[in-house]
Amino acid sequence: MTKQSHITPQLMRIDDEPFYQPVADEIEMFEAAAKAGLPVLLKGPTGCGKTRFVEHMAWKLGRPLVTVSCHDDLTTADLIGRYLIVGDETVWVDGPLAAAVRAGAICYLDEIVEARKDTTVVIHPLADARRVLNIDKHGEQVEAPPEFMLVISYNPGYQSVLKEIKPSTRQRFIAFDFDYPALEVEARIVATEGKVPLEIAQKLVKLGQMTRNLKGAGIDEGASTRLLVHAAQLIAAGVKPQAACTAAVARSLSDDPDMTASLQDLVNAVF
Amino acid sequence: MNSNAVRRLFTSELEVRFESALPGHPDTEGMRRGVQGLEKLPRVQQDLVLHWLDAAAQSSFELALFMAQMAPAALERLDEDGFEIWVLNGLDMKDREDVPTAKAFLRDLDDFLLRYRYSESVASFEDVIHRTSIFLQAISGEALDIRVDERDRAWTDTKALYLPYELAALPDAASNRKLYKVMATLLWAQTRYGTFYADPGEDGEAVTQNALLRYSHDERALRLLAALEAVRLEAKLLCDLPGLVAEIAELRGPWPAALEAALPRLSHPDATLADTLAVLDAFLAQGVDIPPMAHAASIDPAQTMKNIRAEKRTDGKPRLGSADEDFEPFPSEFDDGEAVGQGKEAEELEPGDMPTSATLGKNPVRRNDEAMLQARHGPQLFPEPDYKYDEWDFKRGAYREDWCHLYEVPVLPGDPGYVNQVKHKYRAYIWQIRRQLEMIKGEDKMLSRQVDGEEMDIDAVIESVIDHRNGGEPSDRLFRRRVRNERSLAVMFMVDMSGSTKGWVNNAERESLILLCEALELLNDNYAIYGFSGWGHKRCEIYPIKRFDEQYDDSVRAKIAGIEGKDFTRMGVAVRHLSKLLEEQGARHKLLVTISDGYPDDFGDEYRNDYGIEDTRRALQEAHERGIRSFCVTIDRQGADYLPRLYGPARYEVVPNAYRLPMRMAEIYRHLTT
Ligand SMILES: Nc1ncnc2c1ncn2[C@@H]1O[C@H](COP(=O)(O)OP(=O)(O)OP(=O)(O)O)[C@@H](O)[C@H]1O
Ligand SMILES: [Mg+2]
Repeated sequence: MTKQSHITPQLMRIDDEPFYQPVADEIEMFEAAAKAGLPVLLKGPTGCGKTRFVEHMAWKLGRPLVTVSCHDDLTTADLIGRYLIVGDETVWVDGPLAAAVRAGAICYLDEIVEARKDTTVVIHPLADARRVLNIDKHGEQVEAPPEFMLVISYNPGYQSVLKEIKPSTRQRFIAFDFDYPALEVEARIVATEGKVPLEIAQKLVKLGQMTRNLKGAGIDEGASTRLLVHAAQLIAAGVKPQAACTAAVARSLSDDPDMTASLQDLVNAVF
Repeated sequence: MNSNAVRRLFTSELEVRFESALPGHPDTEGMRRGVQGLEKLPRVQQDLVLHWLDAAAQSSFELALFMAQMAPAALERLDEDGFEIWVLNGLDMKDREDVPTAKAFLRDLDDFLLRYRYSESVASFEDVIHRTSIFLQAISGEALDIRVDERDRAWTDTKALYLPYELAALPDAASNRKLYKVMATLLWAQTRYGTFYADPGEDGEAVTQNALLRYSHDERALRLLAALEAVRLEAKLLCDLPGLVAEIAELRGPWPAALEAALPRLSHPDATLADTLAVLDAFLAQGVDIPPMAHAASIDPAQTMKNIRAEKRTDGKPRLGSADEDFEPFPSEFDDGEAVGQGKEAEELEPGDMPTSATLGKNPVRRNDEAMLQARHGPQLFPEPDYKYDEWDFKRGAYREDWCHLYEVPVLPGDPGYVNQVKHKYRAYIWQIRRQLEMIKGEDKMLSRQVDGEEMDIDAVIESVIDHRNGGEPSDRLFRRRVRNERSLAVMFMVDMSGSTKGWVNNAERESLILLCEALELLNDNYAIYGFSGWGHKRCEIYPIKRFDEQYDDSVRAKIAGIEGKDFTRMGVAVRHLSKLLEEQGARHKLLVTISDGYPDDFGDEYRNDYGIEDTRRALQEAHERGIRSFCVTIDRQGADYLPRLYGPARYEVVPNAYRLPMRMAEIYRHLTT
């Protein structure tokens, strides 16, 4: 197959420090996992900082970051690569996972449960002591350099019985538990990211915490840090706090009129 | 503008209209007076009355004419909507009684006005309960138990919040709904900020709850106490809920002047019950009195303390592990009047006593004391059980072989109209959930590398070109085809039919099943419904409501309506049997959903407490190992800290109030399976 050429995409590095507010010892743990060449699983509800954390760590470790959002149409070829025909020639093009392995990058597979099981298994040999990626179609076995790191995430909150991570996948990873941080910490995040005074951020976080009390009682998840940051950004752009929360929190959490009315009551109570 | 359109009708025109509405009516004098009265009204009102004159004449000329004569007076005091309700009520009265009664009703405008204003302005518990309970759960972090108070008062016994059935203290319904929210929040604040659990005072002297009891029978003192606490609690809420406090202030208006002196002390953020009591004593000594305030929840120390004492004894937790002498097998508060605590009666039976006639017919044998029964009635009373199951004995760390005898008992059909009532009650919701499920159903899947299909599979084509160039055998699977998403899912619903579910819980279960069935009929999921209960390990019962191969038809609907609270809750055997039935289904994914009030319990002491919990847990574990996923829905058991242990490998959710179950169930189902 010598006549075939091979393309591997250039990977970007993160130059500016992404703001990340540590919550516990996750930074040190991640560094240790990186040093030991262990893959990492991030568990936690939506919008609690998983992606931001990985971005921050990629910057900190000086490695490129490749992110793949998983969905149930994601094929092995989408991850590993495929042949294309360019002019008269057949060309092998690396998929994001193969590119990340070759470049010694961090590969972040977001919402891994959404991927089909036959797709998930291709990461198995990468996520254990072998640390290799088999590219069967290309007849190649790529050995991961020490810098390569596999990170996957999932939201254990409300999982469908139709989608679960197989134990054989799960048990290859060091697991990190993410959750919404304590009031003061989260308020600092919302204030920094949303560019609002700390006092407003605190109110937003209180509101957020109250909605989280309703998880499973009519809404699937409470307001995430992301939603609170959105509300803060609206406020910073000049929207009145109540209106900002109605748009960013109450309406985005539920379509049920009763529930939206209750959420509106909460917004009005807090501001 | 066309002046004709707004011009009043002249007497002659009105006469023609009256004549055509009441042709040949002999009371010419009455018609003349009717016309005279209408002549002075603006055209819109004339039209309104003439419209109703025509309508009422279909029912009775006499009544129609009387209505027209009364109309000017009525329209002075009623708006258009009110007028229509007034006429319609009159017509109703005629249909139910007779013309004289209807006339008397129409004549008594004062009375109608009173009731009309009331119905326009009243808010009821049912209107607000859903919204209020969500609100309070959000701010308190717990699912609070909120109930109607029979004596129409707002108070708390520290376990449940009680609210009046209706509120009409304020002039309009919207304000009264707010009043409900405020009352409920202040009641919660009483439990949260120490109205009943006072901290030690500054000087180290403990202010005991008993201090409150001193005021138990003094109406004036209790009124003052409620008001003073309302001041103190409002200040407590200010920090986290300033918007709510602004709303409270608007509802209550300025504090009564008599309270002025107490405000600085009680509004201090650190004020405790001790401060309230000090002010109260001073006020009592000075003879201060204030009128009752609508928003201030009442405080009933005697009632509340009774509960706190009881709670102290049992630690407020479900009776687990402790051999409490006054153990109550069923929380009696679920009884809704018509349901009698059958379980309790049953437990008081001596072994060997037979339960009486009503239950005998359906279930001839309900004892677990086999020897005793056999001695009395002979062995024929024990038919061979339909199934036998092992049970886990955690003390021995081993199974008891064939310990549970399981009988399949048919459910008697219930009220055939029930299902339609429920469908009507939840019609909007059924529509909504169906729409959501429609989306799951509609999700198609693309299969790649098919021999045939609606579009080329580019990847496959390229690959085959490459294979061809490399001298390989090119594949002919070059298409992508769209197919209906096959869910391959079988679901078993296991419904608690023990005595403790009588009343609300039972009704919520039935409603949930109906909503589920209505929604599930849309998907192709294979599902079954079984109830379970029993009486001792020799008489475990399972009630088929819908088998996997049965259609959701009238007979299933009648069985759902017929679901009722029976005896005890031996959960393990039911889990084992139903997961076996589930396993026999060919589906790739199998889901067991249990709906119960979450406390495994059976006659005699054996199954109660740890034994039952460990056995249930074990049964769920066994199911899990065989690839069955379980989800356990528990009703009305908030704060039951044994649930994680009980449900072990299964996921679970506590639905705090039974009335929320039906809607929640459908949502849970959607989540679990999409
Ligand atoms: N610890 C944190 N430090 C800085 N920003 C944070 C932190 N946690 C959350 N955020 C903010 O919340 C937003 C959402 O976080 P992120 O996108 O990382 O969520 P996620 O956990 O990846 O969610 P999802 O599971 O939905 O992908 C970020 O854009 C950031 O503004
Ligand atoms: Mg993310």
